[in-house]
Amino acid sequence: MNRVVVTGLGVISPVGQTVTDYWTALIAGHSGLAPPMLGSTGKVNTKLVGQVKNFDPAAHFEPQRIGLLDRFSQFAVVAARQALVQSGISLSGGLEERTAAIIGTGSGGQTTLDDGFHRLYAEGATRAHPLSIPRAMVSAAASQVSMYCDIKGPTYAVSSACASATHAIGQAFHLVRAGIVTCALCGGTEASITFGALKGWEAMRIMAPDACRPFSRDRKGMVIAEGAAILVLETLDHARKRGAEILAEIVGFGMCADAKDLTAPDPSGMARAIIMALADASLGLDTIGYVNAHGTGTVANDEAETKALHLTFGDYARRLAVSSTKSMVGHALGAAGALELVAVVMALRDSVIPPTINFLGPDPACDLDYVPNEARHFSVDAALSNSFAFGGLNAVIAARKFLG
Amino acid sequence: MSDVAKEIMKMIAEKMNKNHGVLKMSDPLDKLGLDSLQVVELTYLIEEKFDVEVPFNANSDIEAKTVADLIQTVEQLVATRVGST
Repeated sequence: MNRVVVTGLGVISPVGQTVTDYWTALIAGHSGLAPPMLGSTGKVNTKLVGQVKNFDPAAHFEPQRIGLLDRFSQFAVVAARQALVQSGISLSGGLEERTAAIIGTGSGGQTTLDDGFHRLYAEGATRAHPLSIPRAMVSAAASQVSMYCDIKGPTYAVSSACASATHAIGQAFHLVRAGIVTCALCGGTEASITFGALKGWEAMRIMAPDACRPFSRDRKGMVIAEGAAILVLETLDHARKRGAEILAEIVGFGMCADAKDLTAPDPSGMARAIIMALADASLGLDTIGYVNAHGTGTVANDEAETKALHLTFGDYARRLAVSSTKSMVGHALGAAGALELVAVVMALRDSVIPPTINFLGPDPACDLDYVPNEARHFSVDAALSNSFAFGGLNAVIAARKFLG
Repeated sequence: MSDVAKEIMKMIAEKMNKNHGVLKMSDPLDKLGLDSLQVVELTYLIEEKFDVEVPFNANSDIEAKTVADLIQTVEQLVATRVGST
């Protein structure tokens, strides 16, 4: 079994379009959430979203190629390129065939679908654009990453709603650890802030009207966001041989299903996934210093996740630093787990824990240390990234500071 | 040259391989460096522009062999459309 390390990171997010900008914003407690800008499609009641502002496709793609990529694929390719540059890896000489691209997404090319259906249903168009299908397919981002980065190994999409990216990274971790591939680009991407999708979210009545304040009293819900994050994973041997800077080590992955409810979270399912990740990593409970929570800001999730941490960690739960970076980024759905694992990797590397902002004070049902409002300088040896999706799909990654 | 011809020449020129040189009516369509997706997209753009249905299935040979053939096909479709309204 190979040890698996992280050697590159790439991020497109509402708080920054590079890893440096993203991490600087998280540590400073900056929010990327703002009223939606949707053009002239129609009226939405949503007050806040986490959009990637001023993303210019023309700065990243040739004019004649832009039309081939939905926004969610554009995000993924740009983040993948950043991650490759940081890793310094060269996908050539056969390595390209031993490299995987596994990209999570909740809904794929939502912009293409929304625009296409609007033209057909509302504007009376008689034909769809011929690129509608290849641009919108859920696997389009994975294919585009493989084409732009010349990756010729296992390439596919993973879709499990808000756990998509964490499942994708977990599968990439398994492939590298087992020696099926040497290297993997993995993560998630989402760009589904469209009129149609927002109306769907509004109908669920779980959207925060004021701010995203996970685990806080008076929290009023979640905020939908978009973005992408891609990580380069490779075997420790390979990273050492080429003298790469190692940012952190991925040590465990747990996944399971609640088999209960389409939307309500289940603390026992969450806890099982956490315990599986810890067991997979052979990490004792007291080695974990930080948990990047799923922490959506809904009343139900944050209470259930707190219960799950109590179930898993017992008395030690109160000594964990638990924060939700969704308070700043919003919930980027199928990209969320990757954006959050990037925060975990940076927290392990820099010994800083990003805060949960907008925290007003404790809720009796949420009684842990949520790192309220200000980042904390604090060295942790190991950390978890939690993702708990609609439909009861749970995925947890355990990562460790790389100490050699 | 008709307006239809001018417009189609312009559409093809924007899509074709930049190394091709100046587009001529006699150029075979399969020598313009267009991949299959670009041919399909070009067909869509023509249909949208002239409000016609071009009978073309990417699985079968393109009946129009040259730029001139394509233009003639579209011109006939446009003429039929105008006549029927």
